[in-house]
Amino acid sequence: MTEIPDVVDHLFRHAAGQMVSTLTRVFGPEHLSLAEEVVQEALISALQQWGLRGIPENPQGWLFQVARNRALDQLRRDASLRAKEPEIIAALHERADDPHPAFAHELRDDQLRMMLMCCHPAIPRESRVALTLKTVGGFSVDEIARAFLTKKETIAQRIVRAKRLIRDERIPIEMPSRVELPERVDSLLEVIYLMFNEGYSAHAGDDLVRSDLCAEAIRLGREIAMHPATDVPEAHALLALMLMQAARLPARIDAAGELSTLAEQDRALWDQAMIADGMRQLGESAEGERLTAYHVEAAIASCHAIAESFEDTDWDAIVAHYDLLTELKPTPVVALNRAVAAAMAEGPAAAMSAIEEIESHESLQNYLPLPATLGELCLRLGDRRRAAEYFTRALELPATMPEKKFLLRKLEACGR
Amino acid sequence: MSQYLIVLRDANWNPESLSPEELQAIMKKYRTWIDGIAGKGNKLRDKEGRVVRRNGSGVSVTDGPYSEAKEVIGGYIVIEADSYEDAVKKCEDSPHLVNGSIEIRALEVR
Repeated sequence: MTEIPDVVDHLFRHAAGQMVSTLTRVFGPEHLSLAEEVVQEALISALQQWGLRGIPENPQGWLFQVARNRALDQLRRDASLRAKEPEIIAALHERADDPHPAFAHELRDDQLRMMLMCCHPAIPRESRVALTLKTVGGFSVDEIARAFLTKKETIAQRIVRAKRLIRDERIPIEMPSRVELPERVDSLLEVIYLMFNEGYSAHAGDDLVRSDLCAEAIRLGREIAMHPATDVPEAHALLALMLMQAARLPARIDAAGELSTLAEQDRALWDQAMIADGMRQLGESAEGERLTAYHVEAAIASCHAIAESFEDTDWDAIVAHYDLLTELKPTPVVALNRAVAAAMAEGPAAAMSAIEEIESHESLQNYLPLPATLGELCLRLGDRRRAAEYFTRALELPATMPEKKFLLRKLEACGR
Repeated sequence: MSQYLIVLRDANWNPESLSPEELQAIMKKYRTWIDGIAGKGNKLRDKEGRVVRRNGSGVSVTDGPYSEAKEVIGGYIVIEADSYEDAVKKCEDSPHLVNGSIEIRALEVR
């Protein structure tokens, strides 16, 4: 009995996203909300029945079957949908009885089409992320809001707006043409990258939801990298980046809830299988004629992932990668990260002067890593008074509890 | 008091998941590829606004999943100790010793 929430939750996410994708293809994109309703009902009755009778042997098939029956009920009620009855039966019927769907590739196609629709360039960027998480990822509005530190209403609004655009702009759920595909894949990868970054950056909020975000971004990123229609080198580069960064997540917060820096992290907690997977993806990404930021960011992540100790990190290589990244992505945040790497390679004084050049940039004004980095550099340069000022400034910005504890620990170190 | 640098070493580096040869081959492939392409002008400049970051109530466009500023800040663990022996003593009960080893170095004062 105690197993139910876990199992259902797991199935919720993936089976729900799968069923919504398939139903949306059959119903048509304008009926996306209807598809979601049908799946939601199937899940609710699963919860009720399984709570009483235990989990069936083939829960996914069970869910498909209930969803199919609900969908057929809907069709009978709606004259415009009645003609789709045979399609629904074909799409969900056989799967309902098959514990290992022979239709796996069709299901994957449905899911990819759904992602492409949710990430259509006509939809605003932040709505794309929310819509993808909700429909393909099976996240609730509440979870998305917690992950993005946004009000539930805001997320709900974004989703409504995206659905309206899909209807009004007649955005289809289909594979784009060869000509269109590269741009559409770019948008797809960007959404996955945003999703992952939200999970990884942990500004504040619910840690559990955040690691779920990373896991979901990796799952969808893998779907894209492995699907014959979208397996471009940069998809492998993005997957490599996510795997190697996520491999360290278990070590970033220690048992006491304190933030561990790279130097402090217990490398035994790094997921070596994920790192190996990530390295192989990096190998796959080194093809073709396009050098993207994903490639370079994955290469940087690989330097950390394969360093046997903090001390063995190849900082010179990391700085060289950041130089290349600066060409591709000339943002102050990239410059700040380059400066930190340079501090490790060349010493804090060089890093300090590099940061002074970008410090006043508008986009860095509420960026926690900036004062935290400056404080650390001052501390290393022996200027404890200035270091304390920077850590105090950092503490005024919104931060997670582990970040706050970390900064307080640093501030304390300035006093001694 | 002097400062001591604590380097955490990991005993559980598991090369089985990726053999050194495989690792080498991947690194070599990547390096050859990137050297070949970097000079060709095929670099794709990122579109402005790729990365979303929360900024107050709105969303701005600058952050990324970079480790440096987020995970390196703090750098090594630097501790204060009276002597080398004292530094060793202070590390004795570190949970890291269960799976790894700790290296201690005295820091030069700049």
